[in-house]
Amino acid sequence: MDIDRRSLMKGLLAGGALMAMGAPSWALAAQPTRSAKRCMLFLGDSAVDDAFAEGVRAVCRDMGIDEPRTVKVAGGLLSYPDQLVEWLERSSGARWIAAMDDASAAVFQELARSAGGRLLSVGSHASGNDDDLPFRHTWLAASPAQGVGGLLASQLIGAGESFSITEGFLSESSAAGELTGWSAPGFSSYRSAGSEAMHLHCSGFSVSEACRALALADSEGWTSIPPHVSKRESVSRRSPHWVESVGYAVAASAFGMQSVQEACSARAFVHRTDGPGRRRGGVRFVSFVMDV
Amino acid sequence: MASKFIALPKGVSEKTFTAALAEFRRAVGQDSVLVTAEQLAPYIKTMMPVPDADHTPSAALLATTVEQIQKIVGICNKYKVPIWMISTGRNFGYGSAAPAERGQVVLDLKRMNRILEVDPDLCFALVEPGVTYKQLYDYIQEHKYPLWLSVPAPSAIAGPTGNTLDRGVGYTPYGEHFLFACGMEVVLANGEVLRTGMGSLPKSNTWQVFKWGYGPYLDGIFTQSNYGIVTKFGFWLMPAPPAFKPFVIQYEQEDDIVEIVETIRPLRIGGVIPNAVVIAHALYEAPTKARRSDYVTGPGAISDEAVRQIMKDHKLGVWNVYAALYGTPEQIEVNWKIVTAAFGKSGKAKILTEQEAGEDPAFQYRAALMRGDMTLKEFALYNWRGGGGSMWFAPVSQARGSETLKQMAMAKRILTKYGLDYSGEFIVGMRDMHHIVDVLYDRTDPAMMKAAYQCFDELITQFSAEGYGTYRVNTVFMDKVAQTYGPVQRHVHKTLKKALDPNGILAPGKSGIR
Repeated sequence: MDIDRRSLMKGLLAGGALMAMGAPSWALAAQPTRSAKRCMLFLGDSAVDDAFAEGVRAVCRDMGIDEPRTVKVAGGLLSYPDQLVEWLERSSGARWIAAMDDASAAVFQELARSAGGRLLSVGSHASGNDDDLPFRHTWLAASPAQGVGGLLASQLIGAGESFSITEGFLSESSAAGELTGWSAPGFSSYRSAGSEAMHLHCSGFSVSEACRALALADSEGWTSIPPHVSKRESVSRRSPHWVESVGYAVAASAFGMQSVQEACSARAFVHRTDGPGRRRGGVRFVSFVMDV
Repeated sequence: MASKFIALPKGVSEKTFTAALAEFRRAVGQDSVLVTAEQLAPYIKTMMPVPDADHTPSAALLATTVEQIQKIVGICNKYKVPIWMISTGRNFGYGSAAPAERGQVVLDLKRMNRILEVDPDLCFALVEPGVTYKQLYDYIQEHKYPLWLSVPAPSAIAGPTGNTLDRGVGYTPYGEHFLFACGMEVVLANGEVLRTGMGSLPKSNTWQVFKWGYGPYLDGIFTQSNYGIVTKFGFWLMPAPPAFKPFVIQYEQEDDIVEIVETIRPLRIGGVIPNAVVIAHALYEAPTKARRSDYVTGPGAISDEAVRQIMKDHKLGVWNVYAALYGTPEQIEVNWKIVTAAFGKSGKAKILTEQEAGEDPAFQYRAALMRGDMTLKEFALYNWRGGGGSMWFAPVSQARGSETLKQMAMAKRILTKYGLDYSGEFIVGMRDMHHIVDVLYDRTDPAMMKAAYQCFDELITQFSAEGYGTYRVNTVFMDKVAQTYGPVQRHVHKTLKKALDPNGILAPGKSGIR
């Protein structure tokens, strides 16, 4: 006996929180079309919301585009997952930029998948008390076109912090086969052998030190990427706040700001400054760029 | 990396896979075959200490009918393409929605989300695999049925089919979920559709009320297995009790676990406390109230002194026993006297009722789980250390105080060796206890990733050497756990697999079975 067939989202979770949040009119449009301006900034009520949002606003200023609508789930997604489901349902066609704590991120990715969301990148960001690499970022991106690492590295170099960034790409760029590289002052760049090539960009680390720091299995088999195939990021803004820099880089990627794409399946950046790093242990969050 | 697909099934060429995808599209529709990186990326969040690339699917299929699934298995057999089945895919800390092996095709059953039947008199439900607990909860509320659900910690977003098939637990008197399962419909690898128990009998109306049917009982072989695809699932629902009294009992010393278990066991076996009692360590409950970085910042496991400070700051016991009484007010009154007398004997227990602890966030979510309400608060665990790493270590012990103390001490010692915290709880069955430890670590830290892997490996090794089996595990360690149960069981599992799925198309690697 068939009693009921509900739509996925109605059935998954129900809730009337949308109106309480103050839904923007475009979010309720029947069939909105996507453009760079059809972006939404979703903040999961973590400690980094303000700084991340400032980075997003800075990109908008630099690119001369309107700031995205901002939604903040007070209390986080563990308390009010219904609100997220409503937003996912009603913002079809929008590109989401999101930042939240780890617990909310676990729920976010699940509900986004159920809603048919297409994930362009997800990054995990941490500040720790490691003297060598106090700031760590790992990304999984759909392809090098959605890469964020090069943009972020360029921001963080200017801020004088030591850091590591690793990025994995699920698919190669259309430029696959052509050797391309990222560069920045003081960095040496290498490419691993094999069909699933990784690019490694080091500053203040030798290749073997970098491999150890990143737990890469093989410190051999790396060849230098010649300077003539490498490009620098056109934007290297400096912010004193690393979370703001992450917000900037993530939003720049989401808005389509031109950045250096590399033909590789993964890349990593390690940078060590001479001076003692600032200790800001314990801040961790997750960022997303997703099309709904 | 494949040039056309983000991954390929093991041993399948790009050409063959392209042909298989064309047939999948004919079977389920163009839009229900996902192959782009953006579409598949949401399926890759394993929380395990291995590269995401190890668990990247080659495609995902969104089926809506049994007939489509029959066609899908036919295509899989034809092209030798393996599929990994998920219902809602919320298996946090066990691998989530990602396949066990790179290149497997995810068969996502989220769109099969019909509630087929809820019987308020006989108290059962029959649902499709994509139905979530929240969906069923809303349905019951809308129809004003006097029924309660039993839900696991991811309640609202998880579903009864997937949770039960993985032998998950809840916190009500119906908390051992597979005990209350009754009747399945299963698509076999050869495309045949099996209805278990009384469901095989034409015109039978006892499919969801009598579990055993005739002949060998088959339902069990479709749990934690890869012998079929469950497309309908029946289970029993708990009648809403007239009264419900949740409470928490706090203890101050870690070795008080002996007294706790010895006190609970007769109450649990005798039915005085009917639900799946939880004995949660302070570090399991602390994340609802604090962050680890509030207390420690350096490397290594959290100290006992810091745990003491957390207990003091947040009014926690080192052990926090959550249980509830169910029934009429008169029954509860009688049983409450028995409970308070039993726990009051030694003078160590601090007993708090809902009136006394009702504002506490840890108590609130525990009480919600014990009445089958929707809450995700337990996952504040993921903010304790942060960084997105989580693996549930889940050995089983006897419900005997000395055993639980031994297991706790072993787990804590091994975790400390690798600089990780003991975030553990015991869920009390009738005669057993599920010892659940969330191994939390930071996936952005390569050294901690390595430590977490080695730690988990050692936990399994050491516990199995002591005769403690793991009842459920993430996809990385399924083979290792299967090995601990010995060659004969593995051989039987493999023999069944060969008989039911000779081409090995259904979830190869699940529970170590290929």
